[in-house]
Amino acid sequence: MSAIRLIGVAKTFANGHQAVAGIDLEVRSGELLVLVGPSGCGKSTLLRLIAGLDSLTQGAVWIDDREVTHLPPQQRDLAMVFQSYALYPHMTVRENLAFALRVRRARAGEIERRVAEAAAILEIDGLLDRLPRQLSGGQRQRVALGRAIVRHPAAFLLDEPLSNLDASLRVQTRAELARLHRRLGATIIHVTHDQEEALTLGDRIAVLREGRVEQLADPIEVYRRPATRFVAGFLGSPAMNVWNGEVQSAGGQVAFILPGFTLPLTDAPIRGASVSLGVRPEDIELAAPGQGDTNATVDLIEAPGAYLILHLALPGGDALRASVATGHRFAEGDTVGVRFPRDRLHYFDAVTGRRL
Amino acid sequence: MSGRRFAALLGAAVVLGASLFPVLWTLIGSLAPEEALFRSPALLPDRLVLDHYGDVLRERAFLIPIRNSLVVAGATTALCLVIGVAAAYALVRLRFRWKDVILAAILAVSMFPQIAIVSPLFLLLRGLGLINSFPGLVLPYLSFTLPLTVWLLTSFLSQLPWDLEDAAFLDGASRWRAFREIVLPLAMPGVASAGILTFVYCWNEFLFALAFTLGPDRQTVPVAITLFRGRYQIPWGQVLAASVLASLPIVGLVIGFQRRIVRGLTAGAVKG
Amino acid sequence: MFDVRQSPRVRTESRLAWRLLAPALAVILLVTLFPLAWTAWESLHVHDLRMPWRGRPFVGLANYAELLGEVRLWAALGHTTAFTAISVSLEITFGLILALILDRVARARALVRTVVLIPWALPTVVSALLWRFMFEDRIGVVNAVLAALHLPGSATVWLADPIAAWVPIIGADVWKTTPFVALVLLAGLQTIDDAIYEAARVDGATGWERFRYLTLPLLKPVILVALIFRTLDAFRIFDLVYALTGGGPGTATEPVVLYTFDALFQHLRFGYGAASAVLVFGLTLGLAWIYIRMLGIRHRDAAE
Repeated sequence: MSAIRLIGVAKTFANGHQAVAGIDLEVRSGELLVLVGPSGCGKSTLLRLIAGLDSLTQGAVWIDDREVTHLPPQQRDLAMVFQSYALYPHMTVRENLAFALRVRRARAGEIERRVAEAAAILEIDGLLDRLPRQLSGGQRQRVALGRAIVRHPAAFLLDEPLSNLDASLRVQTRAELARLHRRLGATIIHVTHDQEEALTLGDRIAVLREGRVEQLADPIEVYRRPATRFVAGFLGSPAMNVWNGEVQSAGGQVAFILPGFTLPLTDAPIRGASVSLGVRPEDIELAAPGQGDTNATVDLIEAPGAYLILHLALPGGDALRASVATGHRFAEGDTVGVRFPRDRLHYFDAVTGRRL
Repeated sequence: MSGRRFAALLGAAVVLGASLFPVLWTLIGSLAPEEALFRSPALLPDRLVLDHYGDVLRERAFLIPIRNSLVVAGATTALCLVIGVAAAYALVRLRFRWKDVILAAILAVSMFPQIAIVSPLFLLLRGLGLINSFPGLVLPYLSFTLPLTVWLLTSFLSQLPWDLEDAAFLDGASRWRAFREIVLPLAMPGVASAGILTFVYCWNEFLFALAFTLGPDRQTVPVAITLFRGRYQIPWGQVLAASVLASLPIVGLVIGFQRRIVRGLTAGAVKG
Repeated sequence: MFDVRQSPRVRTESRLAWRLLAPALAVILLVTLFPLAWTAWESLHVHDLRMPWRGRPFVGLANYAELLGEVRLWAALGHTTAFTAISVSLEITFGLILALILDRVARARALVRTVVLIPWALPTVVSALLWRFMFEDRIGVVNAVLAALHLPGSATVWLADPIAAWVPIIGADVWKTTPFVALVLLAGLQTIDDAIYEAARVDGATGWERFRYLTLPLLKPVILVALIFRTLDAFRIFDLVYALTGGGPGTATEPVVLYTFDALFQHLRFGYGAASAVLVFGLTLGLAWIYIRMLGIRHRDAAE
């Protein structure tokens, strides 16, 4: 399995749109790296650049100790699973799986063996003689994976492979992908827009925004210590609460000041400046009115099943989302006390969004 | 049955009748004995004969113009498709400068009236010694079929899922191999539509055939029929029989490939 | 750092593209663009093939002067314009009706489409001869039917009357090309979302109102495309008239392309004929340009 390195990779399209703006990235051998971000952030473009389907405007791509920047996709030894699966519609599943091997002139025996092996791993043995149009969405996805596996490539590139599946199938397939990764020990670059997928699947996550990497770290790090306000808001559902305000110190006391209420702090990374303060819904503690840092009114309660999402209104009008276990009893209109654990607060620069 | 649906069916029946009547009348006329044809007023004949077909095929040696039309239409179609597919692939799939200009130019050229180029083509063919020859028709025919074919094929090819070609590249296939095994099979319906339309246009073409052929050995079917001359009047029996024979291959194509033809005719006329 | 246009792979693609395009471009250059330029150049010379000893003297715009002073040319232009206006109006109208019918008749659609394509598929000269046969004065079915129904005109010698001769010509053209118009319009009809008609019905719109306020405006771009194609084709009419009336009686039904063809291949006056051809080309170009401007204006309106 190979390592992939991107050095200063940038791509500007003919119409002037800069899709990728100078990215340095290293994918370690055998790791599953997730590229995640909102639509238009450049993740699919980046994948296509790595595959060689589009050419870079600047930079270099290395696979192990080979520079592949100017090599066509045929010579990069990478396998890709497309969002549309891109199965050859006029060939049977077997022929789809065998195509790449045929192109490389593998012997018939070898082709049969590898096709059978991939089919067994993905449990599509019974479908080998069918045509793609006779398969369900989930089955097509497996065939697409099978086509990649059969080649024993240096690395796998997956372009939103789960996006076209039903919600329930998606969760199931996600787990199977994780198992497949462990079994094959393959280097995988997985592109998705789904933050939950990123957090559950990735050995490391690269959060992309407008063609740049906002943070590259393992899921726990990215979740607990988001490097920017954008990353903090993107990962985690319901999203982190973030407010803009001032950190002031007066007479030895530090506080975060919002219109409506003031939150005394034990310490703060910066003083006398505008700051964005973040706290995750699940970190908010609820108490009886008057017993917390401030009171808030319950505006709306959502009950997705395993937990409750409370939409609260702070004095001064700012909104607050809290998620709590189902056991609690609340009603809309109630006043509750909210407590902010000081060790679970995130501070971001109000202008740059960087973590303080 | 709702009134609206009845009106639609009635309309369809009227349309079918109006479309078919002249054709059927011709068919009957071609099978009518000579004296019935020239009776006035025109009535349905009381018996049907094959005399006219015999005359057309023997006396007029009508098989020769049919052969000529088949050769010219076939050769032109084949050439058009090969040259056209290559050009369309480049226009749809490859990056290069002036792509838009060329596409617009090709579209514009397909609107040129034949009359504007018939005289220099005549002089050119005469200079090359190609008057009254097969190449002498195929070459001018390309002038109106090639731009149309390129434009049609460009329209069809641009609707293919090009992910598949990308997948083939990643699998290691060269551009030529990916084209042969993946792109071409998928493009076949569009290619077939373009081919059928080209064949029909070539078969029916008249002006160039009239201008660039001299005698029955190279005249195509439309020219041969139009130049049927009787001593005193038009030999209607033979003209009608020849018309039926001339139309059979085309009607066969229509019946067999009606869907393909419609795809070709409407491609690009309606933008998604 | 390099410019993407100089990337070796893009340059390879570019080279391949030009190689693939070369045959098509070469053919088009040779048999279309070069001849067109030649015709324009030829129109400025006297080139009479019957009198090769006179050479090919340059005469500037003399051919054009003669052309524009020629009554027969103006008559031909008049014929062509009138024919185009009448035929195309009829074809668009009938085509629209046929398209609406086809849209509704789902089950027999394949049959109707096949049958309706037959007139389109026949060689133009064949349909010309069929219609001529039907309009023959003594043995033609049209006069027979008129007589049987005791309607006036059953003794008309259609092809001998300068006005009446246009009836079979227009009839044959409409008969032959309405299917094409109908199919193009039908394709346009089928891109209209059915849901908006249902919404209109719920809002209380009648069938006619739905047609007028929904169908017609949404079809306008497609109608315009059909109009462009048909107008350009009708303006260039040749085969039909050659085989049906030969331009007669006399030159009463002669369209401008037939006039040009005559000058070239009957009188063998290539220089003069070239001038006439350039005129036809110029008029065609002008018409196309007008339509394309109209289409462009519509696109801008739609985008705003």
